Amino acid sequence: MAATKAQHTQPDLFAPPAQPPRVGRIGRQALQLLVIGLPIVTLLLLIFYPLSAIILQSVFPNLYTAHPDITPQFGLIVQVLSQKHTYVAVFNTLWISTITVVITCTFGTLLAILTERTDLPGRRVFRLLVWLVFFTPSYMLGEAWTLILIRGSLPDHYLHFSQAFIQTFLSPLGVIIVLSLKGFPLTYLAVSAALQGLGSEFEEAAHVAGARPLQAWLSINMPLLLPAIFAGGLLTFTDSISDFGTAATIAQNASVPLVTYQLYSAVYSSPVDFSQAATLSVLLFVLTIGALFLQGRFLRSRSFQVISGRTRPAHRMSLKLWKIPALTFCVILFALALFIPGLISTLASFTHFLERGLVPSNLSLENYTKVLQSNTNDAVALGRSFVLSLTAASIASLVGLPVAFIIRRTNLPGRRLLSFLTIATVAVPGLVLACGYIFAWNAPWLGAFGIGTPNGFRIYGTSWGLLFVYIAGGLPLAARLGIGSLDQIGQSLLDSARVQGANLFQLLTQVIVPLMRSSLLSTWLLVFSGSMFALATSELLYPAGQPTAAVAIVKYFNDLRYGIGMALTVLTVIAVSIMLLILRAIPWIVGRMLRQRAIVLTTQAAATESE
Amino acid sequence: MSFLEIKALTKQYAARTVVSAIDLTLEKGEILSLLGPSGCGKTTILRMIAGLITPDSGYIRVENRVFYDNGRQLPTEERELGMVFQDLALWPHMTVAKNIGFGLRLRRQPAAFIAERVEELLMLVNLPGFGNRYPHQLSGGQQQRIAVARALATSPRIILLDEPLSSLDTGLRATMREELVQLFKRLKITAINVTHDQDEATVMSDRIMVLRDGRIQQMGRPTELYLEPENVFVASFIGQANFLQGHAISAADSHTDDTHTDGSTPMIHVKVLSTHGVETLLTERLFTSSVSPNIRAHLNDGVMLMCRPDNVRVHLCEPMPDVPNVLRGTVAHTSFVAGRWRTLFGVDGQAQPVLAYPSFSPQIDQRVWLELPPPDCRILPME
Repeated sequence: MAATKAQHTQPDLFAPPAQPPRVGRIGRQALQLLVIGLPIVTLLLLIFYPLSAIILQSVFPNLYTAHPDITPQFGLIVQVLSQKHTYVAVFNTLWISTITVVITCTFGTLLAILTERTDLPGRRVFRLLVWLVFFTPSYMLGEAWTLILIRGSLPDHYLHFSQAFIQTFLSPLGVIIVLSLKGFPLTYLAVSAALQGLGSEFEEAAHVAGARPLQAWLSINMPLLLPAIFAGGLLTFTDSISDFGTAATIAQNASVPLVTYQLYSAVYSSPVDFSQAATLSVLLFVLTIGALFLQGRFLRSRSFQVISGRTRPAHRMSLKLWKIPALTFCVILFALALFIPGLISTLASFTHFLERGLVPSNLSLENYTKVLQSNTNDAVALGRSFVLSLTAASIASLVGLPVAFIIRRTNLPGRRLLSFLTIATVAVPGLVLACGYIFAWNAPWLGAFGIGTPNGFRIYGTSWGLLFVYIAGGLPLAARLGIGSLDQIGQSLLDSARVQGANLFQLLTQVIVPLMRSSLLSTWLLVFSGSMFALATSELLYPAGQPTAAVAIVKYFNDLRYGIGMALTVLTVIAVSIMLLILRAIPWIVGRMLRQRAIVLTTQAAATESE
Repeated sequence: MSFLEIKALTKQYAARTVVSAIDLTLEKGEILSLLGPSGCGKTTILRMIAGLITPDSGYIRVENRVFYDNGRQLPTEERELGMVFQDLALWPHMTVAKNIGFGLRLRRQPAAFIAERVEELLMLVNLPGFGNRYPHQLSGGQQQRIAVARALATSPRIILLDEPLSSLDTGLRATMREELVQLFKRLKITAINVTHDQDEATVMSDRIMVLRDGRIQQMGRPTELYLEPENVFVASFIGQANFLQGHAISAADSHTDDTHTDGSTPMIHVKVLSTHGVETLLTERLFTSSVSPNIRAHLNDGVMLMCRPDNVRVHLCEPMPDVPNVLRGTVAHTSFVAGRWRTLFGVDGQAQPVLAYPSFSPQIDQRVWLELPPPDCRILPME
């Protein structure tokens, strides 16, 4: 007799299903060890070991020689720091970065207030443009502005700059301008995030008490925003002191020595000045960590909690007569940071000779065809950068997630140390990390492990070294971003999976990764673009005869071959933009398809039920 | 051997003991509620059973599996439990079917079996055909049912419920708890439910454990806790209660002619202290089995005389002199709630008002007499 529907109304749901054998306890523990141990080992080998190599090298200068000697020589540090070119570079770096911070805080805060709290027309566009500036590497901006303001440039061809005007730019002022144009997004992002959480009730209370709008802003909102402004300023400071792109381009042209270029020169001098390289690396590292520490202390001590359960969305101020000046400010800012450099760079990429201007005979696609021909070094360099960046981004994103999970969602011993490592290393200058790789992976004792020997596994001087340093550059960032995303996932979502029987690997792959896919993609893109544009690390570690796209671009500029250099720049930007579009479009398309399928199936089920 | 056994379960955070030496047994098919105010340790106990929190010491066994034994802990994923969380924790990136079938997929059950099981469970919770929807497409009550279905999917030994109805509105909560208890009884499910809502605990549970500051105050059937609370906390947490402060004295010391004495039944009087210093003697006629041992041992200590508002009789005229336990009072506040007059009476010589439900419509400042019948009173230790 066929089973009727009634007989199925009370299924024997507590007859346990046949249980296939599960992974044994040893297998489970091995898997957990792998998921937890591999990221930690990666972090230690790729970041901690090279950084410690620098610090040790600065104190024990003969540690990494053929006959290691652990005799400390602090006198060498003093000697390096007392050399004129060193302390001039340090002094320049500090005062230029300080002024940059003042400018970026002013511009970034003003822009954030205009886009988040006023009726500024086009504010959505400006928000997007901030991200474009953020992603643009500093050496591209530096090269572009050098291209704009040198004698014989395209604008000079038409505007005939005076020598005084050119000399004014090719000076510390020019370095400050370029660093400020590159750095204001950091303050903007910090302040705009704070503004999004700042309700109107504080201003409204001030208005009720009799304050005019500007008074209310200055006396109420600005103090509340100070932590964010300060945080953004410190980030800009660390970014400026460790910037290599500007140091290698406009600062060089302006003969303004900076610490980062001194470090680079120490490695490329003959013979290599390891003491200076190590000392300057440690100095940069200490300055960076010190700034981050100061930022952390400041943020912890000032609890300007502005988001409460009663915070209501802020209303927008009407700019009225100030609309045109505000719009003008934004347009000029982005013109200087993005449009003008972008336009001149693109135009230059189509020219044979800059000084001949934009006449038809001087314009062609020749620079692009030269780059794209598959048998040229440039196409190979672009392809090499693409593959390395793709691999580094994938590995950093995948390894960063377990690191974030260990720090945030486990009670494992050492997770605080791990957290400190990721914070301390997220702002480590790429140059310092690359310098560390030179010492760390050339150590003679590694030969005992088959590393660095002619027949063994070579890291320094090969693409492996470059790949590892790209991963090392992206891993702390991936971990910190992962922590931020994990904090948004309710603990009960993870607990319920564990109660259902999920082990650590299943928890990560079936619950956490799908929930974090949007932020994982963003992290991937951040690491990918950072690697594609990485100059400092590439300059120090690229294998001989195998440059990356960034190295090739800067070499063209140094050889005064601006057209082809800009063509390669434009193609690199296009490659990153295509990847951005693909990564953003695919999830959107897939999500749309899944939603439509769900609607169709639900409608079918409802129709069946009503029948 | 009981189905679940917990012995001396303890948990401390820093210097604070949140769970203190809890002992508990549960039989198969029984539903137990852990009831208490926020911070009493009830959720901590539940999460220690689930393995989501590691105890400091103690012993937890379910059937023949030891979950925890003074340091040795079975991982959560091996405990074969089901759990419904306070925020339901339905995975937003999975459909309803995928949510329910998650545990079965982890156990590598055949796809056809999983599909059939999911449909059966959806039928059971009255949501057939909802498998392709996402959690955000469901109402609060529907999400609740899906969370229950998911907890049932892997045929768990025990279902743990962590305030599963707290996010629902009042009307839906009442409906859902009836549905849940019917479902659990039909399927003979063993469950532990954490709640701070005494109505929910009373409706859903075979037994209730009342907790305070990590310690068990009383455990028993809902009727026991309501009719025979062991202390003021339990009496006030389960239902409403009136309390009069006084001293327990023996009948021999009362200097009254006690006409209610049943020769074989010991009598305990309570001398209730008034705010004006005039002592009013109230009597309570108790049976020995209902007297708390610690009261019998401290007859001259301070005690609280408890009487439920439903049992207080309100008289408009003074009762006969031989009617015991009568207090004079005045109507202080009244409101018509759920079909009766909820009225607070100020009592002469007492700081605390008495709550009662008179059968007539009271007027403010109206003078009345309040009778607390001895069989409906209970002596409790002073807190």
